Amino acid sequence: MPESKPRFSKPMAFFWLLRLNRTVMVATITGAAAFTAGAGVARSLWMTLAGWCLAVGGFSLDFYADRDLDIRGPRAEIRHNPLATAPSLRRQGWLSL
Amino acid sequence: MTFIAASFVVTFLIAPWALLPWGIILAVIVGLALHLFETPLARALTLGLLQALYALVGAEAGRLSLGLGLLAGMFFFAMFGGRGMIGIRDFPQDEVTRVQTLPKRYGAKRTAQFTAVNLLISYALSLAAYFTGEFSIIYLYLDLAFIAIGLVCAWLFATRPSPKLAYVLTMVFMMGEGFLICLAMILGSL
Repeated sequence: MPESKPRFSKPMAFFWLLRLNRTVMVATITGAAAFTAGAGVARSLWMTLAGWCLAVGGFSLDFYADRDLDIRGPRAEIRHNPLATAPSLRRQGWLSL
Repeated sequence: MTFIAASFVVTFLIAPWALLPWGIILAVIVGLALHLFETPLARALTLGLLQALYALVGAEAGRLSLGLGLLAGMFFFAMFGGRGMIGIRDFPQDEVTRVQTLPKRYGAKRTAQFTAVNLLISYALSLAAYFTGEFSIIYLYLDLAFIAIGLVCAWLFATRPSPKLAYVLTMVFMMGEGFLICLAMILGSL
């Protein structure tokens, strides 16, 4: 099957990697749980950040693991994997993945 | 790895005990990346487990209580069942791939029933959390709204499951219901 053409510019690929539609919810759950547990505002915000970073890292790892699969066939149309479709990111192993 | 390392450092500095659920999350994420959980139920279980573990990571920054444990269970069942909704939403695309999903294995109707039952369990757990006495009446009001919206959505989905409806409902759950229960947790514990 033919390889898909790159569809993301580098900034766009970075933005897509953040998966804000999912990671914000995960971060909110982590932060809300911390606040509910009596951690206070500052510590809860730090835990929100920790949860968000872990979620972004997790989704990026998933993208990285599937970068070769997601470049071909129907998966290329479905997954919108920036690590599969942005050649510069693939070359550099960008985001230190 | 940059984001994961940053998360590790922050978690270690703020709540070292949270590294236990944090490590389990990382193990599940690595397992998913290595395609170790490819069966439909395993995928649903990991999704539910991840949400519950994220709640526990946050809870370890303070005092883990029965109410928070019930809410972690609520997140587990909501997302465990939510996987069925996602499977029906993505069914037209998944048909042309080899990915195994709940609707492909068990059919749309049984998947919708599976989702509805899990959502009902999650609503029961969210209500049970109030009766631990750890939350104020504000939590109850918001939780009742959360349950009412959720029951309507679950009933709609169980009676006429379709990718289009699943698309709309996943938006309702991700953007609306998720934030509503988090707001209930925060305001209810003030």
